[in-house]
Formats: sequence, C-alpha cells, structure tokens
Amino acid sequence: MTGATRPPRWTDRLLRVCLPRGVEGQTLRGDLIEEFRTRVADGDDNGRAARRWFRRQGVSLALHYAARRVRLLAPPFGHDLRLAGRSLAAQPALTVAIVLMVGLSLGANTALFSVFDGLLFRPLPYRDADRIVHLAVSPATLSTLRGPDRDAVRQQERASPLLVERAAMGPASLFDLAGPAVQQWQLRPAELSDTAFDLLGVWPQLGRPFVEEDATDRALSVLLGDDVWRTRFGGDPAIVGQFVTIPGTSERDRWRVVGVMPQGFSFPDGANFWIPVYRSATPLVTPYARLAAGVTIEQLRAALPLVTVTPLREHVRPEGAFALGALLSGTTLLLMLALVQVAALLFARASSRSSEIGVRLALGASRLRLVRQFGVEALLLIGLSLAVGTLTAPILTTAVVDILPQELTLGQYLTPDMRAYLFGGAMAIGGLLILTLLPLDLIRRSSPLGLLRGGRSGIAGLRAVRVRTAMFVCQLAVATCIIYLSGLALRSYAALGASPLGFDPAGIIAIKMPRQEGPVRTAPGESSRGYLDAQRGMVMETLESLQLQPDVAAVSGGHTWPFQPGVSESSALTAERDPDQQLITGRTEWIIPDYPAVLGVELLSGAEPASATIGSADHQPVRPIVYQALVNESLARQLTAFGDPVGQRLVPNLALRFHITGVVPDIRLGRPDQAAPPTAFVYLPAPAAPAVVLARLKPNHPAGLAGIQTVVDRIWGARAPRAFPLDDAVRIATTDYRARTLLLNLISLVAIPLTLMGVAGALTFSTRQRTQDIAIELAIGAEPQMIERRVLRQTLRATGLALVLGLGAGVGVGRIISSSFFGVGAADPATLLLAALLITLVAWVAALLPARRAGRINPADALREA
Amino acid sequence: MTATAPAYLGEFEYLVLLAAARLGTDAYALAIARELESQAGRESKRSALYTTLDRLENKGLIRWQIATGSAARERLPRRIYSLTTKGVASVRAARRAMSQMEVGLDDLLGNES
Repeated sequence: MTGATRPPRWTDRLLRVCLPRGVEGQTLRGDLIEEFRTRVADGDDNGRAARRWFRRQGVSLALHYAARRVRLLAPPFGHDLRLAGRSLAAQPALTVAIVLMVGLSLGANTALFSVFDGLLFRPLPYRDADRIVHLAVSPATLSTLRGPDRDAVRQQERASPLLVERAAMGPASLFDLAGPAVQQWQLRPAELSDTAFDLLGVWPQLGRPFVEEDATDRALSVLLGDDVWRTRFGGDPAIVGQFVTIPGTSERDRWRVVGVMPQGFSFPDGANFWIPVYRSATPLVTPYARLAAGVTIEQLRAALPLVTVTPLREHVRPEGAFALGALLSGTTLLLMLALVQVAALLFARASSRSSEIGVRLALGASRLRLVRQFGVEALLLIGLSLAVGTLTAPILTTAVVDILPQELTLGQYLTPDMRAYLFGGAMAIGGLLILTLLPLDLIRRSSPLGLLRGGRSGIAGLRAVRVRTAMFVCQLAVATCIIYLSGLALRSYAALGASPLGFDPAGIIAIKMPRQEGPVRTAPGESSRGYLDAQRGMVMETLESLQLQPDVAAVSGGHTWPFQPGVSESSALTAERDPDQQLITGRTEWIIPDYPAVLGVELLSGAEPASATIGSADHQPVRPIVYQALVNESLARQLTAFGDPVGQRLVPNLALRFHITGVVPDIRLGRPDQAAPPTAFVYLPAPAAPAVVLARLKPNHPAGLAGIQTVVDRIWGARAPRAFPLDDAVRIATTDYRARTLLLNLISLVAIPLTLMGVAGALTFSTRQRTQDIAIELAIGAEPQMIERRVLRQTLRATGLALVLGLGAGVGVGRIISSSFFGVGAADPATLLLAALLITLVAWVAALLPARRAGRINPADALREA
Repeated sequence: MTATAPAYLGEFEYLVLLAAARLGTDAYALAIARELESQAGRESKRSALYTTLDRLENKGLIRWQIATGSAARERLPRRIYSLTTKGVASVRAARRAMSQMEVGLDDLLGNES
C-alpha cells in the first residue's frame, strides 16, 4: 500500500476515536476508506482530491458521532451545551471579546509562569541534577597560591571521596566573534569532556558522544546542536562521520562531526557546538562533579576550603531571576483586570436577560436548572478561553523571552511545560468560576416579578446597581495598581542610571584574556608551567601593543572587570596597627599599574607605587610577603583611627601584607545598585599576568575599539576574545532592572486600553439601563449638560474610591517587593501623583462618550419605547 | 396508526429507501450514496446519509445484516440494508400520494417519458 492509497492519518485516527465502538463504527470507517480508494483510482492527481474529500467527510462524521455520544451520555448536559453554544453565538462580538480578553491574559500568565518557573524552580533536565555541583577557585585565591599550593589543591579535589563522576565543561573561544561562524551561523562553542555525558545523563540523538581519544585527535571532533544540524546541514543523518567546513575558519582546520545532541540541550551557556576538552588544558579543579551518595554540600565545602562550591541550579541561574517575581505579580494583576471585565460583561448579559429568566422562573423552571445553564455557559467560555490561552502561550513565551535581556534567558529552559499549562488552567477555572457566581447570585436571590420588571426596581435592581458599581471600582483599582507598580519600576531604573558609579565607564574597553584551548606539547611534568608561560607572554604582548595604539590613552588590567557577573571578591582584612585586630569585611581587587588612570579617577592622597617597588614575590627573601596597594575612601576612613592611611599595612593572612601607597575615591565595581564596600586594590606581583585587560580610549576616538580588536586578533588569532565597551557590562549588570521595567510597562500598555474599554462599556450599559429615568428628567426640563456632568461626576467619584484602593494595593505590593527597586520607596509621592492623574484621565476620557450619549437621549423616543 | 401502518417519509428518506430497493443485496451505505448521485443527482454528506439510515431503522423501515468487507476497505465489514414490510408499504404510500398530487399538473410538471 503506497502513501497515495493510504487515507490521511490524522483523520483516520480521529475516526477511530470518535466513531461508535464495534461493528457500527467499523462499517462506517470501512465505507469511507473504500470510497477514498475508489476516488484515488479514478483520479489523476495522485490522490490529492481524494485525500481532501476524506478529510472533509471524516471530520464531519467524527464530529457528528462525537456530538451524538455527548447527547447520549449526558442528556441534560448536552442540551445545556447546545443552548449555551446558541446563546454565545447569538452575541458573537461579545463572545469573541470575552474569549480573546481572558484567553490572551491566560496565555500571558502561562508564558510568564513558564519563564519564571524555568529560571527558578523547574528541575534541570539532567540526571540527578540536584546532586551536581560546580567547583572553582576564585582568581583572588588563585593569585595567593604558589605552585606547590596549587598542586595540593588539585590533588585534594581529585582524590576527594566526596565527589564522583567528574566532568569538565565550559565555553570555548573558537571563532572570531565578528566572523561568519558567529554572526551568520550563530555558533556558540563550548567544551565537553568525555565524562560529561554520564554526569548529565544526556547523550547524542545521532552518532556518539566524545571519547577519550577525541581529546588528542588532530582533526577536531565536534558535536552539533540540534538547531545547527537542522538549519545548517538540513537535518541530514548522514552528516555523522563527515568532515564539515565552518565559515571563517582555516581550510586546514578539519571538523569531523561525531554526533548531534538532542533538541533543547544547550549546556553550558546556550552552547550549540561542542569540542572535546583537551587533556593538558585542565583547570585547577574539575568544574563539575556529582556529590557522592549521602554527602552534603556543606561537608564538601568544609573538606575543600579553598574551592568555591555552587549547586548547579544556582550556578546556571542568571542574576536577577528572582526579580521576575515582580513581573509575575504584574501579569496576575492583569489577568484579574481581564476577569473583572469579563464578570462585568457577564453580569450585564445576565441583567439584560432578566426578563427571560423571570418568565422561565414564573413558568416553573427551577433555580438550579437556570444556575446549571449559566454554569455551562461559563464553562464553555472557560474552555474556549483556555484553548486560546494554550495556543498563544508558546508564542507569548517566545515574545517574552525575546523582550527580556539575553543575559537573563540564554541557555535557560523556558518553554511552557505541563506545569505551566496546569497553572494557567487552575487560574482560568478558579477565576472565571468565582466571577460568574455574580450573575448566578442574581438568579438565586431575585424574585420572578423583580426580574420581569427588568431588574430596575426592587431588591434585584438595587443589588444590580451595587454590584455594577463594585465591579467598576474594581476595574479601575486593579489598573491603578498595575500602573503604579510600572511607574515605580521606571523611576527605579532612571534612578539607577543617574546614580554615580565613582568613575566614567564610557571610553573604557575590556578584553578577557582567553585560556589555552588546544593541545599544548610540553615536556612531562612541565605542562602547567609551559602553558602559563605561553599564556603570560601573549598577555604581556597584548598590553605592550595596546599601549602603542594612537587611540589609547591608558592601559591596565586586573583579575576582573568592573561589574563582571558572578564575581564575589569579598575579603576580610585587619589593619596592622589595630591592637584589637578588628576584621574589616570588604573587597580585594587585583590590578596592575595605571588602573586609576584607565578608570579616570584621581588619587585623593598618596600615589601609585613606582613599578620598581612592585616586585616579584619569589624575590622577597623574608616573610610575610608585601604587596603594594591602594585603598578606597570607605576603607581609608576605617584606618584613619590609626593615623594616615598612606603608609599603613593591611593583613589578609599570616603570609601576606598589603602596603598602602595611596587613596582613591569610592568606585562601584560589584553592582551599580550597591555602594562600594571597603576595597583594597592590590598590585599583582610579577610574573602574574592580569586575566582582564582594560584600555581607555582618548576622547573623540570612538573608532578606537576596532583598532584594539585588530591588535587582539593579530596576537591571539582564532582564539582572539571580543573586546567590548565597559558600558556593555553596566548594561548587563542592570539586566534585572531593565527586565522588570520593560515587562511592567508592557503590562501597563495593555492595562490602559482594557480599562478604557471596560469603563466605557460599563458606563454605556449603566446609562442604557437608566434611559427612561433620564428621558423623564429631560422631559421635565433638565439640561443635557447637567445630565452629562452628572455622569462625569459619578465616574470621578467612583474613580476616587478606586484610586484609594488601587494605590493602597500598589504601595502594599511595592513594600513586599521593595528590594527590587533602587532609589525609590514603596510609597513614592511623585509616582502616586502621576498614577492618580493618569487613571483619572483614562476614566474621564472613557466616560466622555457615554455621558454625551446620555445627554442626547430623545425623551419622546425613549418614553415611547418603554 | 398500527405498527405495520406506513410511515410518512421525507423526500431524502424516500430517495434512500428507493436506492436501497434498487440495489437489492448490494445495498450498503457507499452504494446507496453512489446510486443517489448517479440516478437522482444528489450528492449527500455522509453524516446526513448515516443519520437518515439510522432514522429509517428506528422507524422500522429498514434492517441490516453484516457482510464481509473486501481488501479495498481493509476487510472492514459492511452493513447491507433491506426494506422491511413496513418500509415497502411506506414507499408505496408515498408514491401513491405523489401521484395523486401530480394529477392535473402535467403542464407545470412537464411529463418526461
């Protein structure tokens, strides 16, 4: 049987599900299949028309018998469902508005929950991920360790029985970041050791994982990411074992594809192109390992005091993820606004059908029967809204991920999963069921006579007015809260931007020196020294070459660049002159000469040490070893109790001393929103080379970045790192603030038209309900302007109440998430005023048209229709 | 009306019963649909046809038997329909009624031989 004579698969599956069981269903399906084959044989279009026919007839038949099954299984429900369907279809515009409003809000909430859950709570898709840890030795600690000490740390980690299944993984500098491999092919290379697959529990979907021999093979073995395989190599399974060409690389570089990783795998850091870790380039400690059975992280940290141990979950979590809690609360508020709108609309529909309900009650229909009918209607709306929300959730998740800063989302698993859909479903069911109790309450409590009067008088009428007013106030209050929170986020971001850093990052270029990636041929037992010598030589050549650049004003460096993410250089020092040896908790920055010049700061006192005094630790005959240092104002203030800070010494440990030669202003180096801690800037002794090179461009030389990159490319070749402006680091460091501001303001942009629509709709309905009363007033001499002003006055009164509630809620929520804001309190007067003015303006604009319509009611026509 | 008294037929029901009668032992749903298309020029949706067949069965006008299916329908069984006594009586009654109503309308209806 060829494909042409096989009926469309999904239609056939649908028939199998929907047709009656047994002989009846088989005969029906057989008839369709026989006719399909006849049409295929009679046609000359390779069965295309026949397949179209089969799909049409099959779906029609499947729906017919599915509906029959529903009617047979639940006769009352089936009848109510048909009635509900007709009722909704009778007002298509209203139904579509409700479904879209709630559905899109659900989709947005599901999308944000996916992002929030994926960043913070969702288990990583690796085997026993909670037991995997990341190990590292900080640059500051590393610089205090001499050769034998480093070997001891390495040996201690390798031999520790507290760790099993070690693996090396990390980003790799393989390609020119401006070249076609990165820019066009979007390759993000990384290394994986042969043990990484067992550790993570992830294996290639095609081909094989890396093996030990790959680490020494001259032809680079590579694993492709699923996206690269599909977009660049057509998803061809035959690619395994082939040599491929990567654009922008030398023809002598041979890349042999050994496998393709599964879809969604992008560890670490969003990688999609992996090479083996070369054996001789192993770091001091193995970066990743699994805790042995029964071992805790605390035990491991105690056993390896010089090693920073971080659970994998925290290591991959981007900074600022918790701030998304504010965003989730924002969209939850938006969903509430949409649900309040829906409740108002549903209530309006119920009120307008009060006569119908009154007649049915009078004729003997039970209230339970009517309640069930409205319940089924609400359920149908829930179902349709949930379908819209489910369909739009993946699209909205992609949109949210695109809006959020890449630093927050790269490499994270953020697509909606069952948890996200269950969250959306629970919100939909809970919210809409609660809110549809309002029209149900109307039915339950009202008398038939009251309903027959249209609910305008009596208890039904009074309750209807109260409920309508309450929902009107609710709409405005929720919108006020959303707008207030987004205003706080905006002011916070602006305050952060205006906050002084202590130096001007503009014009400073940073370059992270790469570490050796490829195999290094060295004599046995000297591999690490050989690697360090080669590395050091290239770093020094970079420094010297940049100093010769005409566009460069100053060159320096250190272990980190300002605002480098994931860095924690905290330290505890004591002042040598302090008799009590009080601990000063602060920060230690390792630098090389001209660091203040590069940052553009003037020393407040003292001077930088002369280069000759920055000697080699190896040449200091006595212990403790003394390094030269500058201190910032915060640290200097704590030392003034013991005299002039210049000339004093700081004690980090028994083996070291920091001799202070000068004082610099406070400079924020950790995060822009955190004040500078007491900081010691310690000059690296020879032969240590900085891990980061910093260069300040001369003013009015914006093209200097290109010149710097040219120098770096010449020295480092294929491993050349990307030089980047320090402004980028500032921008990345404020990622969470930007994310919050962007999304909260986006939510506000949606909330404003929703509020406009809701207020206008509610007022229009309200004036329509009171048409006859207004007509009588106009007939006995009231001015139309008086009617208009009254509508506006009533709107503004309700708005006043909504402002009190909404701003109060906003201040309350602001207090809960106050740590997410910078430089602005939860009860910020300017933001309160602006939010109040904006909501008042929205309500007034929304009320204009209904007010004008009320004033233009023709008394004769209105009273005639009564 | 007694159990064997003829039932009133809709136009499509009448055509379906006639098609089943014409096909005799080969009267299964697909053949009935083809007969309606070729003889009466009526292309019907399958759901409408099956609904009508079920309704006729519920009225007691037709019955069916299972027959083995061919390879062309993956050996799935067929239902072969046949008219009951009541069905035959209903068709006859409908024909009589049509003929009575057509008397004197030759000019309008235009007799076709």
